[in-house]
Amino acid sequence: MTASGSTSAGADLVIDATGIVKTYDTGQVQVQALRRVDLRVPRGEMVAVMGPSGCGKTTLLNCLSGLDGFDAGRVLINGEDITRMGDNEKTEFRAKGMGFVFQTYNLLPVLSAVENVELPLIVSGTRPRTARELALAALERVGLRTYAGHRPAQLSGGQRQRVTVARAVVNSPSIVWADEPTGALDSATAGGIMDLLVELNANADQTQVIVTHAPEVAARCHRTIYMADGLIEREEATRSMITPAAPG
Amino acid sequence: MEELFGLSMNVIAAVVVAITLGIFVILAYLAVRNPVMFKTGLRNIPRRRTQTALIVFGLMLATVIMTAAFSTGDTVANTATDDTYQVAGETDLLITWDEEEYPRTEAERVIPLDDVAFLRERFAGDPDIDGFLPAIAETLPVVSLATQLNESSATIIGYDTATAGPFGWLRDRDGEVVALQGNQIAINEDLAEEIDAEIGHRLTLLFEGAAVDVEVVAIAPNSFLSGALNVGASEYPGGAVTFEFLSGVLGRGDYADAIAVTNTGGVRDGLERSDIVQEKLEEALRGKPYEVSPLKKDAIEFAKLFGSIFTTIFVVFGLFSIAAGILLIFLIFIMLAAERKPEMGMARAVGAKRRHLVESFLAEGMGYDFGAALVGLMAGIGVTFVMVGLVNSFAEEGLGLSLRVSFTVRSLIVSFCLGMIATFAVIFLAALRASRLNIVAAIRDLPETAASNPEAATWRGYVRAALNTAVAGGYVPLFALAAFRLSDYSELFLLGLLVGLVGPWIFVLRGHNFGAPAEERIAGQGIPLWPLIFVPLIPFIWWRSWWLGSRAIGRHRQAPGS
Repeated sequence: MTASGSTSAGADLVIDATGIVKTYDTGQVQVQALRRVDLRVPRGEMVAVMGPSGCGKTTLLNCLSGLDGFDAGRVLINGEDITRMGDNEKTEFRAKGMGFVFQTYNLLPVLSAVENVELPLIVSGTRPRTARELALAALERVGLRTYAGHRPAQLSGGQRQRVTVARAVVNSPSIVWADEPTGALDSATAGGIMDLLVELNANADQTQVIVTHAPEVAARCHRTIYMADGLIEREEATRSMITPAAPG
Repeated sequence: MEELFGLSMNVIAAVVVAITLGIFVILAYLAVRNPVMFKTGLRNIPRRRTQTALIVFGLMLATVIMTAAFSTGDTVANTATDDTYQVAGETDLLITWDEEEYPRTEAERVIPLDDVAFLRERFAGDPDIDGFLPAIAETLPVVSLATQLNESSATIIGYDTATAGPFGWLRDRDGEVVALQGNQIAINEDLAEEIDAEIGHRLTLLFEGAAVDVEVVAIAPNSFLSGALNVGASEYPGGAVTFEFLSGVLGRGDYADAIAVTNTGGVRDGLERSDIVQEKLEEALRGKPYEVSPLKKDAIEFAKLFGSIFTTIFVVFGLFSIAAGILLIFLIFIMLAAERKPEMGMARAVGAKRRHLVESFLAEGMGYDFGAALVGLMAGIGVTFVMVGLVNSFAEEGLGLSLRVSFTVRSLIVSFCLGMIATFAVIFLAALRASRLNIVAAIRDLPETAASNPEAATWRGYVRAALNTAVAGGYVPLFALAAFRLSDYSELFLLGLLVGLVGPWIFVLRGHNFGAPAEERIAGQGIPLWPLIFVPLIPFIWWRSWWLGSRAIGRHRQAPGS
């Protein structure tokens, strides 16, 4: 079954994916993780992707963001076809236009919080001094300005995830991809992270795609997509894009 | 040591220093341009100290082997040259009968003293020649009447010790000048040791059945003037008597066997004049049946060659160890990369390109490398001391010389730089390999999954493989054509061409199926088109550089004669 974002028809599409097929070859057996998935997401929408484990949520996020290749289909991000991009081009595209938040934070342990945050800027060619200023500003936004010199090991789980969010938004991306952003956090900290994401979405008009198992996370998104067996099974509008976010 | 594998050590030193400086410049540039990735690499070094120590230990192998090889070569060469200078003393050249051009019986191969007088007159005041010394030499059995010990082949030299001033005089072990007369003999240390002789002992020289008694008046260090004529040999039992005495014993009359020549200058710096002196003497002796041999120069060159051979053997054997070490280094870095896969995947996800990962690894690797090269240098010198100690304790008798550890700054610099370069190259390759990762698999620390190949083990797949081979093989006619045009160097040319062309093609073609329908290829992994333009240029560049190189070699070979 194929589903597409009918709610977004005619709008300014940030994500326009058509017929995505992804097969994992383990050598012994081939697993079809995505089976001709279509998805359209307009600018500024927060989309939650839900479904049972192994249904293809993370694979979809990885394929859409260009982190992983796929076997067939086409993905346009801001109108640009990422399937036609070479590795370097795709990487640069990610560095300048996308932010990532993962469940396990994935901060570089040898870098301080501010160095982790400025990494996407430095690798995409921003001058070190400018990158440092922007990184400190991003840490300020997530309330960790005073922890700029701390290394990840010196921060709590919630603080690390805030650093990850700061890193995801430091380059003012048009899309933030989040894979279980609250999965490793207690409910209070998770609420704080979601507040942050919702605020960024509202203030910066950022499109966000959030893979989650948590209904309370999905409830704070504009739309929820339900996946099963590599297909988008159904979708539902959770809250209007023009209504203010519900309190965490 | 002056040469290695036929290349001047000066050239090698200049090249390796330039490459090493180049590496440092690149690293400095990377550090300034991308400080975060550079710091990421460097800060990984102290993360696990035991692991770091192991890595440094593994990386220093190349430097240790290089340093030990060069230092041992220097030690052997310097010991041998020191001994040669000591034995040859002030004697630089020797004028003897030219047996090849003028074959005569032994009794006829002599030089009239008139010719010595001619040379002395002609070269009086010459700025390059300090003096001539006519001498007779014979290998004789010597028996000590005091100890009844004998030496079956002692080299006895006869000359006028009173005229040996330009040659530094005949001196005893205390440095005192010895003036011989009558049947007095000054024996050298080797002969004294052989027959346990002391001053005052009487010796018997045996010549054609006749016995002649002489009295030991001095024991001199081994030198040309004390009978050590075979400069560069391992043992020199011999002694010196007066010209008249030995001439009388041998029945030579006013004829010498050889004329020793000393250049202006000291024992070492006089050597530089050997070529010009040889030219002058050959000119002066044109038409006479003599040959002029640069005795000291030949012996010194042989000593240096001996050192080079020693080094070359060590380096060649060392290369096997280095090859094993390189594999070790490669594996160490692949393992380091595997350990940090999630971090690398994350860095890639947020925008780090492959080259950023390579740069980060290079920064880390060169941190280890610099430490390893320094430690390796020290360890290599230590290994040299141990080896020389072992050689001296077990093989001093056989070698005939006692090795004294010595090394040149140039050798140490070359060792350090070669160690740095070898390790840098391996780290670079390992970093390239490690940076090839699937971002998603890396972040989640999962094993890499291979892209599915629907054509594996099918007829279509075989046809495709054959097509790929044919594309690569299309350059064979080019090889043949180029080899035909450069027949003098065809084997080397072909080898280089094969490496230069087939290698890149195999690299470029890996994983790509030419001719496969586009829709069957994995999305986002199209066939790169740049090799189709770039790779065909390689044969031209190779041919052109080879052609220019061979022309330069040709000019170099022609230069001396032209």
